[in-house]
Order: sequence, then structure tokens, then C-alpha cells
Amino acid sequence: MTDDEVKRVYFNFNSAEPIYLQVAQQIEEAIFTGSYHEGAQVPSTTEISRDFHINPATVLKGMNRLVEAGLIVKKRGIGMFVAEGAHAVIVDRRRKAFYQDKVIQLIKEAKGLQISEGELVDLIKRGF
Amino acid sequence: MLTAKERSVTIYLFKRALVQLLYIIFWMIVGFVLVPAAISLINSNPLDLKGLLRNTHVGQMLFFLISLLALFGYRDFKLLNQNGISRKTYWKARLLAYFGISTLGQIVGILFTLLVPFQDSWNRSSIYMEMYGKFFANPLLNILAALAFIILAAYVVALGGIFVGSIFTLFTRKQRVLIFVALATLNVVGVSFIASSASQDSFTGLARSILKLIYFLVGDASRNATLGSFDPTVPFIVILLAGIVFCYGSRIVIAHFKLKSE
Amino acid sequence: MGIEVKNIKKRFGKHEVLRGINLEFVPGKIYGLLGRNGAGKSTLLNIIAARIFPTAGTVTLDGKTVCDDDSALEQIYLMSERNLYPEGERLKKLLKTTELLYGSFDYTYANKLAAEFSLDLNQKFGKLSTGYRSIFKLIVALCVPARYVFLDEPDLGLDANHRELFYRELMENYAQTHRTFIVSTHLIGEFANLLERVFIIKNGQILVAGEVEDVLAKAYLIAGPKEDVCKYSAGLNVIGHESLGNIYGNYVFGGVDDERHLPDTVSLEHLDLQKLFINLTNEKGEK
Repeated sequence: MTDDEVKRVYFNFNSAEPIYLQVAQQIEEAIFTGSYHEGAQVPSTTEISRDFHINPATVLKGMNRLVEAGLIVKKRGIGMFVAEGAHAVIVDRRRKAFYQDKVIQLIKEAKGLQISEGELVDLIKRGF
Repeated sequence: MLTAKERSVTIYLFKRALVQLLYIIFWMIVGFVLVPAAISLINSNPLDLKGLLRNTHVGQMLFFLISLLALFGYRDFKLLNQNGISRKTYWKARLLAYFGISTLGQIVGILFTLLVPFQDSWNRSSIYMEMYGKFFANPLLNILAALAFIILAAYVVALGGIFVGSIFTLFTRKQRVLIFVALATLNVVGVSFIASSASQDSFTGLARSILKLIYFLVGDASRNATLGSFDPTVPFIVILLAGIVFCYGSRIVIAHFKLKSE
Repeated sequence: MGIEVKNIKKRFGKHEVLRGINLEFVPGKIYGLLGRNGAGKSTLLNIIAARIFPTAGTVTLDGKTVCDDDSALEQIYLMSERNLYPEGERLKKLLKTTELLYGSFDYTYANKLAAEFSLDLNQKFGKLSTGYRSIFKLIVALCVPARYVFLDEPDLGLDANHRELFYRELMENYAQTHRTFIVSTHLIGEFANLLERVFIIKNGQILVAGEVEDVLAKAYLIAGPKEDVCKYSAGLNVIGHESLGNIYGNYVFGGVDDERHLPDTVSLEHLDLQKLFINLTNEKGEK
């Protein structure tokens, strides 16, 4: 994917969530899908700020969340890079959240539609 | 003495006034010399350049033009305000710039009479020399006094232009027209009143005191001096006082300038 | 430090336009000054830039009264809808004058911007369209060395492409200079993410002041069946509502009670700046 494509696919800031969270989430998503490989440079605060018209303080706050989570590292005077093992960290975290966020929701929805446990398992098998 | 900013603004306003002045003079030359010259070529009447030069009082002309220019300062004020210049600096710089331009104007005027042939000699064309030129026994002293008076008078009248111009700036265009009409009417009424009172016996008292005042102001309170040896002290004082009033008056008025949408 | 506006009041005849405005602009931030037409934004900005005088109150920059002080005024540039540039003057000449009076001017940057916006600097100011007047004034605002740049409706007459370009350049300029920008605009949706702090002004008074993020964190839309919504939002600061058939929504500003149980039927979501603004500044009877 070229840089421009990355921008088009991921950076879409318009939900009602705080913008700094959206910044963090979108970069995380790009690391997860491999658009930014480990060790690759992520766009600078200024670039994101300029290209998406977001206040740099807000962008920085989002970036700092990722730094704290160990997903990206600051290299002084050069920029921000995807940390070694960042992908694994994201996968690990998303797996833990998978049951809570997705499975429970799925079962709730299935119950509302009167889909039985067996039927749901069959559906999942079919989808796999 | 001047801050860097005050100096820049003074230079800016001086250049502005100079350019405006040269622009007007250019069109005057076109109107009074070039066009008549062209016409004279067509009907083969030679242009009386000599006569033209003789009758051109450059000093007086510049005196008039500069005080007219001094009336219109709002455009500069707006631009300076947009560029972070305070009212105080605008006022100071405008006073200095007009001191420069009016002094320059008078020097040019004097040089013109001295250098250009066919002109009346300087002391004959100068109103001051005509009225006060023989006050001092020493002729050099009279000339120096005349120079000082001309430069001072030219500047004070320019200051008057700045003062009156800034007062007009406080009002909207409609109000300005109304004030102008009111002043003109008042003027006509006043003059006809004085004229009528001068001719009627019952008002001679008032007319006489007005006349007395005028004689006092021009420097012949006792009305027995001959023309040329009037005392210039009172005129000097009057003009200095007027200068001070215009100077501080314009400071106060400019401090109240607002930016209107016009 | 910064610009402090203290208890500014302004009265035009009988009409009280500003009724005691207090606010502060600290260095290095982008502020939004939002208000409806006639709320008093432009009046306030004109007072700060010493173009008009307040009826009461003071404006100081780093403790110095701004009004008659060149060293304070040269730190301020106010770009406004009102044109103070002479119509007959060429743009190049105006840039020269700006350089002379502000002490310096970034010509390289100005030429680059003029090329980007395709503005010919040999034109006379009076010949420009509304949009290009805005563009010219924006170029001056970005290239002038003032530390506090006030932009009063900078988007006036700009098409979508030029606005996009302007937002880019503003962010680029801000990243490099870290000056203070104060933007007054009606295009809240487009500007919201650019702003760090916001002032909402209504009827000549400051209604909301703070970090955009903090302000938005207190603004919610509570939606669901009318009965449940009203029950949940009882006692909260409801600033507006809307309904679609049976679905009812309450706009709330000032936070919700975390202790309160949120029924399954009711949804709770944050507002964006524009929605919050509209609901805060609606007059009675407006929807």
C-alpha cells in the first residue's frame, strides 16, 4: 500500500469520539493490518496535523498513548517508529478483548434472533 | 529621540505626502503648461512662458496644496492601524512628516523665486516682507524673520489641515456634509452681518471693535505704522498659539478615531 | 503572560454589545471564538486590536496596556472582514508597507502561498473578489511576524479547495512558529479539530470557555423512548432536544451522573462541537 492509500483507508476522523483517541486507534489499526511494519516510521505529528487538519496537541496526545502502550517509540530528532513486537502486543490485547467485545455481543444478538447455541456454532463453522 | 517604529512611520507618511503632491503638481503642469502649449501650437499663438513663470507663486501654491493634503489622513490611518501602529505614533509621525513636507515646500518656493528669472524679487512677492519687511533696521534680520515666519506659518496651516481633517474623520459622510453646509451658511450670515453692521450707524461700535481686533492681529494696534513696518510680534504669537492648539487638538481627536465601515 | 481581556464592556448607543468579557489568550495555542451573528465577536476582536474603544475594561499583552503601545500592537495582527487596505494599492506594495511597519516580512513564504492560491501579487487590492481579498489577508497574516494572529471569518468567500489549502497552511505555520491563533468562524464543523481551546460567546457574554476536549466531554445526546430519556436526564442540564416519531433525544451539557443506571433502551453519546454550539446558542423557538 502506498502512503496515500494508507491515508485514505484509515484516516477518517468524524465519529463523536475524542479526536486523540481516534488518532491512536487509527495508527494502531494500521500497525495491526501491517500497513506500518515494525521498525517503520509512522507519520509525524506535524504531518498528521497538516494533512487532516487536527491540532498538533491533540495528535501528540494520541501518539503519547501509543508510546505509553509500547506500540511506538520516539527516536530523538528523527521521529516515531513502530516498536519491535508492537504487532504481537496488539494481537494479544485484541484477543483478550475479543470475548468481551465480540463474542458476548454476538450471543446477545443471536438470542434476540432466537438462534440456538447449536445453530450459532454451525453458522460460525460455515463462516470459517 | 524617535523609536525605530516612529521613524519608519514618519518616513512612510512623508513619502506618501510627497508622492501625492508630485502627482497633483504633475497634473497642474499638464493642465496649465502642456495643454496650453499644445493649443498654442495649433493656433500658432506662442505660449507666454515668461508671463506664466512670473505669475506662478510656487511657495504660496505649495502652501495651499500641502494644507489641503493635510486634511485627508484617514486612509493612512486605516492602513497603519491594520499594521499595528498606535494612534499616538500615527499622530507624531504625521506632525513630523508634514513639518518636513511644508518646510521643503517653502524652501522650494524661495529657491524658485531666487533661481528662476522673470520672477519678482523675493521680498516683493512675499506678503510678510510687504507688511513687516522694514520692521528691523537690519535688513538681514528682516529676511531671517521672514524665513522663520513663512516656514512656521506654512507648517501651522498644515497642522490646521490635520486638525480639521481629523475632526471631520470623526463624523460619518452624511454628518460631514451637514456640518459643511452649516459652516458655509454660518459664514455667509456672519460676513453679511459684519458688512451690514459696517454700513449702519447703529452697529458701528461692533464693527469698529472687529476692525480693531484685525488691526491688532496683523500687528498694527495703534493704526499709525506704514505698510512694511508693522510689528510682527503679535502675528508670531498668534500663529504659535494656533500651532499649539492644532497640535494638541489633533492628538486628542486622533485618540478618538474609530474604524468605520465605509 | 499572553493577552488578557478584563471585564470588557461595549455599548453602542442603547445597545449593549459586550457585557463584561473576561478571557485570556496564552502563547502557542489555537483558540476558537464562536458565536452567532451579532453575538459581539467582531466587536471584541476590534477592541483587542485597538481599532475601537471599550466602554469599560482593559486589554493587556504581557501586562502592558495594548491601546497606545506600538510594542504591544506589533505583536498583534487582526485579519478582518473589514478592508483597511486601500483599494488602489497593488498587493506587492501592500506587502512592502507591511514589512516596513511590522519590521519584517517573510517574502519567500508569501510568494509560495500566492502561487499555491494562484493569487497574482501585481493586482490592485480593489480588483480582488471577496474570496481573494480573504486569501490576500490570510497570506499577510501568515507571513507577518506578529505573535498573536486573530482571524475574523478567515473563510469568507473561500471555496472548499482553498479552505482545505488554508487549513493545511495554518497547521504547517503553527507547527513551525508556534504562535497563537484566534479564529472566529461560523464553519465550526471544519474548524473543530484545529482548535485547542474554545470560547463560545452569546449575547455579549462568555458562555463556555475551555479545552475543546474537556468541553465536549461534558456534552451528550441522550436518545431513546421519550419516557426513559426524560427519566434518565431529570436534573441534568438539558440544552435542547429533538424527536423523531417515538424516539426522543435530549442534548445535555455539564456531564451526566455516572451513578445513574442507563436503561438498555437509552443510548448515550457525545456531541461534536457544532451540535453543542447550535444547542447552546439556539434562541427560544428556534429548532
